Amino acid sequence: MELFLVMGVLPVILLLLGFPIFVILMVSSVITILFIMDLPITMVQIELFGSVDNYKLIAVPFFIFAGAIMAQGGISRRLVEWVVSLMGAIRGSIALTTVGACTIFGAISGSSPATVAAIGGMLFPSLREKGYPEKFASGLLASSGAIAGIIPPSIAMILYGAAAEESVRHLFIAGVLPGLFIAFCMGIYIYFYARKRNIREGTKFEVKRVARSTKAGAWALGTPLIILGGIYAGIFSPTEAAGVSCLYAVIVAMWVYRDMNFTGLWKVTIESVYLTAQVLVIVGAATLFSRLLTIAGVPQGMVEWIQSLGLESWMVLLIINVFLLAVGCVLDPASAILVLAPILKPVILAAGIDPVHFGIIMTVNVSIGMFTPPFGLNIFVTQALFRVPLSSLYPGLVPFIMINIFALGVVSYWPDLSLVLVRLLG
Amino acid sequence: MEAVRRYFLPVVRLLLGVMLIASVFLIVANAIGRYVFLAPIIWAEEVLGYVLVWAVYLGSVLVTWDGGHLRMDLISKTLPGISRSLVNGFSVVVFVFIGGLIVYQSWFAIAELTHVSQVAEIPMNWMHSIIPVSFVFIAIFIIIRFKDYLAGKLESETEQVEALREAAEAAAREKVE
Repeated sequence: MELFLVMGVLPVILLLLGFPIFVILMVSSVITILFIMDLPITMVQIELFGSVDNYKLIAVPFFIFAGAIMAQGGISRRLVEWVVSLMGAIRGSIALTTVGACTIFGAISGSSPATVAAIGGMLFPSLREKGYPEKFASGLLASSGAIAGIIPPSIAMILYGAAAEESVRHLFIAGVLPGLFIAFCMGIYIYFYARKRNIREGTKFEVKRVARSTKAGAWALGTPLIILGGIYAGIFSPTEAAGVSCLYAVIVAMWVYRDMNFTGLWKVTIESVYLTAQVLVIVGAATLFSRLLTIAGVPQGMVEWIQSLGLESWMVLLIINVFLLAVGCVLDPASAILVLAPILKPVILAAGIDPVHFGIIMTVNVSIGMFTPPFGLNIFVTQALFRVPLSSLYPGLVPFIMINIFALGVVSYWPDLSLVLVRLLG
Repeated sequence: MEAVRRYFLPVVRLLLGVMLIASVFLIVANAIGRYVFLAPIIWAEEVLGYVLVWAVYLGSVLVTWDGGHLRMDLISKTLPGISRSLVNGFSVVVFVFIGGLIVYQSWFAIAELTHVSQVAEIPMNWMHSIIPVSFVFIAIFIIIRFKDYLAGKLESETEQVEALREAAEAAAREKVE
C-alpha cells in the first residue's frame, strides 16, 4: 500500500502540479529507498551514472544534431522540393507533399516538433493558399510531424532499446514498414479529401523538373541512404551511423550548399546538447524508478495478475494500447517509454508478444500522443507557430487521430508488418 | 546573476559544444580506423559513454538555469496567482532538497570508487564526480533564480517557442509553390 502511494499516486499528483518529470521520479525513488525498502542510498549515484553511460544512447545527441543541421542548413528545403516535383501532378499534391516530406525528414531527424517547424514553415502558407481550410492544414501538420518519431532513426526507439534491452538496429528495421503504412493511410485520406472538396492544385508532372530537383537534392537525399543503408547493410551500428550522418550533414550544409556558416553551426551544436540534456537527464531518474519497481516485484506481480485473468494475448495488447494512448496524451514520449518499457516487457513476453514488435507498438502509441488533445506537444507547437486557435486545431486533428488509431490496430495485430524485414535483414 | 550569465554559462556552453563535436570526430575516426586501417580505437566506446554522461549532467545545469526541464505544466498554469506561487515554491524546495541529497549520497558513493575504467584506465571517481558537481550548481541556480521560479517567469518556454518560430519563419521564406 505504501509503495502504491509513493510510486503510483505521488507521481501523478506531482505531475499534475507541474513538477519537472525528472524531479518527480527522483522524489518517489528517494522516498522508496529511504523509508520503504531500506536500500543503500548510494544506489542513486550508481543508477544516475550507469544508466546514461550506455553506448546505445550516444546515438540520441547525434541524431538530434544531424536533424538540426539538416533543418537549418537548407537540406529540408531541397527534400521538400524533390517531393513536390514527384507528387505535383496528383490531386492533393501539397497536402501529400507534407506527409511525404515529413516521412523523408523523419528518416533524418527523430524530432517531431522540429519536423513540424521545418516542414510546416515551408508548406503551411502553400496549403492555405491552395484552398485547404485552416482546420485541415493545421491538423495535417501536427499529425504528419509525428511520423518522424516512427520512421527510423527514431529517438523513441533508441530509448526503448536502452530501457528494454533490445537491439536498436532491429527496432530501426522493424519501424520502416509501419511508418510507411501510416504515411500511406494518411495519403489515402488526403486524396479523397481533396477530391471531395474539389481542391485542384499542383502542376503537370515533368521529368525535367524531377531530374532538376533530384540533382539539386541529391546530397540531401544521401543522408537517409547513409543512415539507413549503413545500418541495414551492417556497415555501421546505429550510433556510428548517427555520428557519420552528423559529419556528412555539416559538410553538405557548409561546403556543398553553403547555407550554414560557423556561427550557425555553433548555435545548432549548443541547441542539440541542450535538447539532449533535457531528454536524457530523465533516463537516470527513470532507470532508478523502474529498478525499484522491479526490486519490489511489480512487473512480476502484473504478469501473475494478467495470467490469473486468463486473457488472450490480443486482449492484453488491447488493454496495453488503450493504456499507452491515455499515457501518451499527458506524458512526453521519452518519460513514458523510459518508465513503462521495463515494466511492460515481462507482461508482453508472458503474453507471447515479440519485444521488438512491441517496441514499434509503443513508439506508434507515444507518437499519436504527440498530437492528441489536450497535451500533445505538436498541438502547441502548431498553435504557436502558425497562430491557429485551438478551437480550429482540435477538430482538425480528429480524422488524423482516427487514421492513426486504425493504423495502430493494424501494426498491433499484424506482427509481420514489423517483423518481416527483421527476419530478412536481421 | 549577471556574473553567471556573463562568465559561467558561456564556459559551460563551450565545454558542451566541444564535447559534442569531439564525440562526432571520435566515432567517425573509430569507424574509419576499423574499415580503412583495420585498427579501431579500442577506448572510443568507453570514452564516448563517459562524455555522454558529462554532457547530460552538465547540460542539465543549463536546462535548470532556464527552467527548461520537461514537465506537464498546463494544469498548474491555470491555478490562481497565490496557489500557483505556493506550488512553484514547494516545487523549488523539493528540487533543492533532491539536489542536496544527490550531492550527499555521491560523496559516499564516490569515496568507494577506487578503480579505473577497463580500457581507457580513467579513474572512475573522476568520471563520477560530474554528478555531484552538476547538482551543486543545479541547487545553487535554483536558489539564485528563486524569485523567477516562484513567479513561473523563466526564459525557456518563450525562448524555445521563439526558436521554433524563427525556424518556421526561415522555412516560410523558402516557401515551396
